[in-house]
Order: sequence, then structure tokens, then C-alpha cells
Amino acid sequence: MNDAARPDTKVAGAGDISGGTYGDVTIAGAGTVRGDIDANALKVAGTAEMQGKVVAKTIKVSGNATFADDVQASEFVVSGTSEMRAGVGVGLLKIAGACTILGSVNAQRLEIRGTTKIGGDVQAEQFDAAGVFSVGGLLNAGTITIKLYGGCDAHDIGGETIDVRLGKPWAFLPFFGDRNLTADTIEGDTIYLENTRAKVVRGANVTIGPDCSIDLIEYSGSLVGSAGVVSSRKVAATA
Amino acid sequence: MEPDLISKKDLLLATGISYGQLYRWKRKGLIPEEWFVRKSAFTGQETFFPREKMLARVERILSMKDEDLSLDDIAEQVSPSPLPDTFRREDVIARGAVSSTALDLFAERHPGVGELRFAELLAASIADTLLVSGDAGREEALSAISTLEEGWTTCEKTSCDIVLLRKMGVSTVLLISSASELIAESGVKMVARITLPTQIEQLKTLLKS
Repeated sequence: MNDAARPDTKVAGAGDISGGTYGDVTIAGAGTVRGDIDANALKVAGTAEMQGKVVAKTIKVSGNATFADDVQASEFVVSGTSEMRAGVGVGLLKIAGACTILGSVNAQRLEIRGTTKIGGDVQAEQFDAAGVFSVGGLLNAGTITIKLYGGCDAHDIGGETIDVRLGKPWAFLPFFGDRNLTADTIEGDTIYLENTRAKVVRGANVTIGPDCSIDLIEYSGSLVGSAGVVSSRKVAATA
Repeated sequence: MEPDLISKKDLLLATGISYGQLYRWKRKGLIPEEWFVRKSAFTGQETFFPREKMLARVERILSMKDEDLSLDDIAEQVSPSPLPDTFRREDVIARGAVSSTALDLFAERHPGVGELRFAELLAASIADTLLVSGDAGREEALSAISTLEEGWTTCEKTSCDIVLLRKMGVSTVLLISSASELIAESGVKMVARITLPTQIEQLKTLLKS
């Protein structure tokens, strides 16, 4: 798309882009966006600093980008490094590199393959992680699938289906230290856990796999495989 | 345990909904963020809800689900955000949402306004509630309308109450956040306090029925 109302713009060396409405915004060198932008596509291959709000159909960061304010996109892919200092509202957020988000994330689908630190809450229909993550608040998603490749933590976790397993070893990639999930409470309908440390796990059907340490398990349907769990109390919540 | 709060576990037992459902409703905005009250318990932090409001809300959502409404439809109905449509006077009266008296009162302030936006309708419906209950006179209802119009941007962001105070026949209308307590000097009577999110919900139900 390239018309008068949505001009394309490109920073190849070092330069500034002022706020406004654009077609494709490409930053290949070092660029600063001063003000809010509404773009069709935003591509950062170099280093970029977004000082205002960003609204775009697609955002691709393969270099290094800082977003000082809220970010909204249908598709947001980070394969480089990125820091979002406010909130993020996206259809799909895919993090293959390293990402720090100080605010909360609202997404249809959140895919973590790299390292991600989120200060606020996460709300998503699907949360799919095979990497390392930390969520400071509540991780709330319909389907939560976590493959552990390092230390992961969330303050609380809630959803319909929660599935936490040890990641399969990759031939060439080393693991990042201990591989486990730490959370205060984990609540859901169907829960499967491996290598998890939690104070409380509550759900309808709970299956506890190997290497878990849970202080209290409450279940209303079934509890499977908790024989070896370090758990002080197991309560069948009766309806 | 405080009697007006219900723990998450007791709520699920009482209503038969699951953890998954509750989290889904939270994501969809069917349950206001401020109803999730975190308190310390022996297991760490536990979540509680305002008992009456929460039980009523769960019941409402479940009955709307029985009518085959999608969660997004339900969210629109129960959320305090305004409806995007404008409304014709005749339709509003026909649905019994706001009386013609209150609409006349609004028209007096804004002569020549044709279709009403949701916020304007809400102001008129507040005036209506005040007049019908006999709590307020004409002038007070008018001043409620103007207070709401001035404060509308604030109450779009947070849950607000509209309060009518009277002392020795002199009245004052206030717009305050729902969570705040109000203490006035002696001799001041709180004639009415209307919670806007509740009023919005009722108005939406009437308009959509």
C-alpha cells in the first residue's frame, strides 16, 4: 500500500520519523519515532526507539526496538530484542528473541520461543511457551501449553487446560539452568504438571507428573499420579 | 470471614461453575477487575468476591448463556461501557427504558437534539429514576443530568455513583467513585445514591429486550 494518505517511510542510516499515519515504516539503521504512529507494517532491522503509541497491522523486530508507550498490532513478531515499557494488545505475539514487557499483555495467541519477561498480567486465548518466561502477575489463558527449557515463573496461573512438561532436548541447544515452573497458585479445569513448584494447585482433573513439589492440591474430579509428590495436603473438594 | 465476601472456592461450589469458566469470563470482561479482592490466607493469597454482586452476576451470565448468547454479547450487556448506537425517542419510550417526562426534561436542556447517544440516554434515565422514586424534584433531576454530562469522561473509566444530598431544602449533586465512602456533616441527608454500572446494565437490558 502506498498512497498519499499512507506514505511509506524508511530510515536507512540514522534518522527521525515524526508521528502520523504511514504505509510501511522500515528502520534499518538507527531511528527514533517521535510521536504516535499508525502504520500498515513496521519493520525494525536496526535499532529503533518508538517514543509514542504504535498501532500497526504487522510489526517485525529483528534488530532492537524500544516501545515507550502502548503497542497494538494484529501480528507482532520479535526475533531480535525488544522492550515494551507499557501494555501490548495483539492478535498474535510471537517472541523468538528476547523481550521485556513492563505492562500487561492482551493477546489471542502468545507464542514464546525465546526469553520473555512480563511485569503485568497476561490474558490470552492460547499461551504456548517453549522457552524461558517470567510473568509478574496473573497468567490467564484458555489453553496453556508450557514446554520447559529453563526456569519459568508466574505469580498465578489460571485457565481451562494447563499442560506443563519438560521440553524435549534439542541436539545443539543447551538448556538454561534449572528447568522448572514456579507459581503461587495454579487453577484450571484440566491440569497436567511436570517439574512444577506451587503452593496450591486447584482443578477438576489434576494429573501430577514427575518432579513436582506442591503444598496443597484441591480437586473436584480426579487426582492422578500424585503418589510421589511432595505435598502436605490433598483435598477432594466436594460439590 | 467477612459476611459480604465469598471465596473463590465457595463461589464455585455454590454456582457449579469451573475455574476455567471463571478465568474465561474474567478475560472477556464479564466480571469487573475490581471485584477480584485479594486477601492473605494460610495458603498465601486467596481471591474473594463481593458476595451478592458476584452471585447475581454469575446467575445472570448463566441465564444469558441459556438464551444462546455468545460471551461477547454478554460482555457488551454487562460491561459498563456505553453502547455505540443512537436511539430514537419513540423506541426508547416504547421499550419503557426512559419515561417521556425524563426525555422532555433532557430535551429542555438540549433543545433540537434528535437521536440520543447512550450517555445522554443514561443521564435521562438517572433523572427518571430520581423522579419516579420521588427522591428528587425537577431542578434536582436537571442538575443530575448536567453533573453526569460534565463527569461522563471520568465515569467511562471508573465505576462511579451519582449522589444527591440535601440539607435544609438545599440540594447538591455529586459524582463520586463507587468505592468511596461519603461522610457529611450532621443535618445532611443522602437522598439518593445511584451506582452507574448498575444503571447502565439495566438500561442496556431494557434497550436490547
